[in-house]
Amino acid sequence: MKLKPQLFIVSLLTLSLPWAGCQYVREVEAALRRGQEQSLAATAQAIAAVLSTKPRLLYPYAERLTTRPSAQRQLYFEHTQQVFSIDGYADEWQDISSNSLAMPGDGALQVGYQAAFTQQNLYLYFRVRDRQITYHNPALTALGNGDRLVLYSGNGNHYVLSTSAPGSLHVRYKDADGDVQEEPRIKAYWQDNADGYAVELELPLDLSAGRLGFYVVDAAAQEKPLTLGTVRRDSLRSSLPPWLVYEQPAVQRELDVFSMPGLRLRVVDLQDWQLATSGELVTAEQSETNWVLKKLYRAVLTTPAQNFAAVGATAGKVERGEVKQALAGRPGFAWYRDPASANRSLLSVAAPLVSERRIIGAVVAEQSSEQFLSFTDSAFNKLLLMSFMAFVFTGLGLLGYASWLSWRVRGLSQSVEQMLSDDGTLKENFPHSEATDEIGDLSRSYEQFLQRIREYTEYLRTLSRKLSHELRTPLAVVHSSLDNLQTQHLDSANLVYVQRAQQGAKRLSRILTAMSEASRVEESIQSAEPENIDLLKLLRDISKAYQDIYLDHPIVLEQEAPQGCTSISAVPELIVQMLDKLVANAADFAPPGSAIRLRYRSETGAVILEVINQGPLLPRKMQAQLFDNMVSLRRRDAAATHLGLGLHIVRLIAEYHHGSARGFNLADGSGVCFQVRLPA
Amino acid sequence: MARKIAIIEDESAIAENYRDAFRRQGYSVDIYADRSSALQAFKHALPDLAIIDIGLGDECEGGFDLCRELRSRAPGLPIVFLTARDSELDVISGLRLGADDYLTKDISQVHMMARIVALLRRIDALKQPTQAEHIIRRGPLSINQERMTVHWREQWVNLTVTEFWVVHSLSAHPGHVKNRQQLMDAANVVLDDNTITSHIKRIRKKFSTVDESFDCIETAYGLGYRWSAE
Repeated sequence: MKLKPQLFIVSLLTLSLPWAGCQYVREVEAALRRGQEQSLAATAQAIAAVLSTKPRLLYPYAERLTTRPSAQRQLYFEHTQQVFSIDGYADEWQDISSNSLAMPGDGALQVGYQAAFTQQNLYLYFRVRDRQITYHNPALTALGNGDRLVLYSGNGNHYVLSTSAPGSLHVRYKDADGDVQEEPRIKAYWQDNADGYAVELELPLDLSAGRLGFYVVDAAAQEKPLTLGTVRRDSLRSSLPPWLVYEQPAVQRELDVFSMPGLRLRVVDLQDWQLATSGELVTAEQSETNWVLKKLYRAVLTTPAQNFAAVGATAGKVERGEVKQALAGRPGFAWYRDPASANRSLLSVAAPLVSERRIIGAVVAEQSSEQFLSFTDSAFNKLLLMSFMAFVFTGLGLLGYASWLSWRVRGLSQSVEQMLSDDGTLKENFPHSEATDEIGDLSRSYEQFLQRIREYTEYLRTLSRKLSHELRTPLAVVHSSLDNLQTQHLDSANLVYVQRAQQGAKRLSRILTAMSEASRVEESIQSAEPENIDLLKLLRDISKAYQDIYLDHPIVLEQEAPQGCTSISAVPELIVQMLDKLVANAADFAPPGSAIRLRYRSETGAVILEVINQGPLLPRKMQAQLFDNMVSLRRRDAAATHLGLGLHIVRLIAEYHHGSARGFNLADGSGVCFQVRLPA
Repeated sequence: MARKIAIIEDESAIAENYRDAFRRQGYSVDIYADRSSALQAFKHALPDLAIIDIGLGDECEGGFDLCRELRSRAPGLPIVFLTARDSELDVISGLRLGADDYLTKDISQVHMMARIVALLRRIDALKQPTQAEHIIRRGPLSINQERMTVHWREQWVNLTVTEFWVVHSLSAHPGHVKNRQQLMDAANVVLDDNTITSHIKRIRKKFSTVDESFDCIETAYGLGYRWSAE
């Protein structure tokens, strides 16, 4: 991976800034929550303090506080502003919560009921599922013998609601003396419907004496009549029906004093029944934040897992942990997820109502978290903006730094590459950096390194020449000694050895001469003076001469583009020497009898000399190195000594004439071509 | 009386080998290992011929210095360089300093002896009056074989012995190409092709100083050189 993407990835570390910011926002949110808990608890306690001075308001029937709660189902009357007309129709009962009872087992008898309280009157609406309605037969008994509804009041009376036909009905009861009396204060209406009947009734609160229960009797034809209700049929006066509970407008008025927008206050009694409620939770969303951002940061914040339920499973009861805690004597609070808005949470705080060292209920205050969320909204916005800016700033900075670094490294690698000239030698003056950092150090080490290599290659380059020079003197000793020895009178046997020694010494001489040939060519190049020569004439002359030398190979001179100018500025001796080397090289490789072709071509601005042989092809890898010093492709067992200088000399001469030399295989694979290009 | 040859050479094995060879030919030989001892000896008596190595002991150019001093003291003294250094630059410097010949140590004793003898003969001949029968004429060129001198349009051309033999060989058969080997044989030298080329170049230059229009030595590419008959 390149440096830039690497540093870009490193710059991603700045993404930890938003993370840290989120942590901070969470902390802030937690602090705000605690603040809200405390302020709400204070409100709840203040209300509790006010209400605890008025226990009568909560419990109009004071005995209710002292009696043990009954196991029987209590009736709960919601407070409503509805005006009821007693007609047996359910139109007015739309908003009132409904309860139901069913016969255990087959559920042959089902009773649904709704209860409401207004203007000191209790209203009840019953829906009885009964497959077969048996009407009251006045001929049989006075009190009631068909399907009927019985209300058991706190004054000990069982009020029987039965009828012989649908419509408004009379309520009867058996008084203390056993006489059947009518109770005109209870107004009721019987209405038949598809699967049973409905009864709607109005009952003054006073008549109930604070307690109320009911049961329904289904008088089946042959069997024993079935009963279903909140109290048993055989309840005696000694076991009064359970206390009824109703929402009290007086308590609500007390609560209304404390009401605030977005705050809902409730009072619950010891059995979790809601006695009063005030205020609404629903508030318009106040913040102006973009909804995307809002969603984003609310996703960051913790939301409670528990769903909020305004009331419990039983209509009218607030059965929640914090309420239970408050009823046990300790203030409690809990967070809920607002079912209306997935990202919003609700705080519910409950404070105990203590009167005369007795807990008589609890005040519950509920508030949405929207209030402080709008504050964290803006904080989150700023955080997001600032961390984004920091990210962009850091990212750009790192990117710039990375570009600068990689620019330097690239520059360094380029200058190292440029140090190597085309002919494989090292140039001088490496542009080393003055920077004091590691890249500068690297650049300087490169400079040193290249300097060493240059010295070493220079040493190698001059080695052959120095060697040939140094060897020449001891060789002269050998030569002259052998010459002297030959003048002595030696017998023929010894003379043979002297001659062999002389041959060896001569061969050594030739090797030494060959070794220093390249450097001598360099010297003669330095002193050479170019003149205008007719290259074509030179080629014609020389090809004839080569024909005499290389008897094994026909020398063919090919000439293309004869109209071109054949006169170039060159040093004829060097050109000849170059051709010597090329032709000698070709002759060494060409199979015996095959032609060596000398080809002359002219292009615009250049003349091209080619020497083509039909020898073995060049290995692809070696083609570029062929013209280097001491590179030879010949087999080791070749008879003559080859130092790989011939083609090096060719290149020296070509370059002296500002030309170039290269060797390549012919396209059809029939041989090898060595090409020299000289500027015209 | 035997001719006196001084060999100034720091490599005693070579010096002694040459001394033995020259002695066999009847020369008297003195060997000096460095410049100062040679100069000391030459104060008293000059030799008939001096053979000088270029590198003398610690002085890598000591031979050149010695040649310069000897030449200033004795303009007519034949001086020959015999050295391992075969670079063009050294050859040119040596001959510029007034040496009569420049031999590399590759040379065989036979060749060397032939050239030394020829050199001494030329010195002798120069002291004799000119004899007409030794003069070869080729147009404006006249060659005195005895004195080994060459005149072009009656002007003396200052050639070394090697150069003389090259010109002599070329002009013997005008129009015929002499290849390098033939020229080397004629000059009694073993040289590589480049050296022959540079000899030819120097010869042309020397003629050109006398006559700017000189172009009698032609190059036959790949073959050698010929004396054009005009």
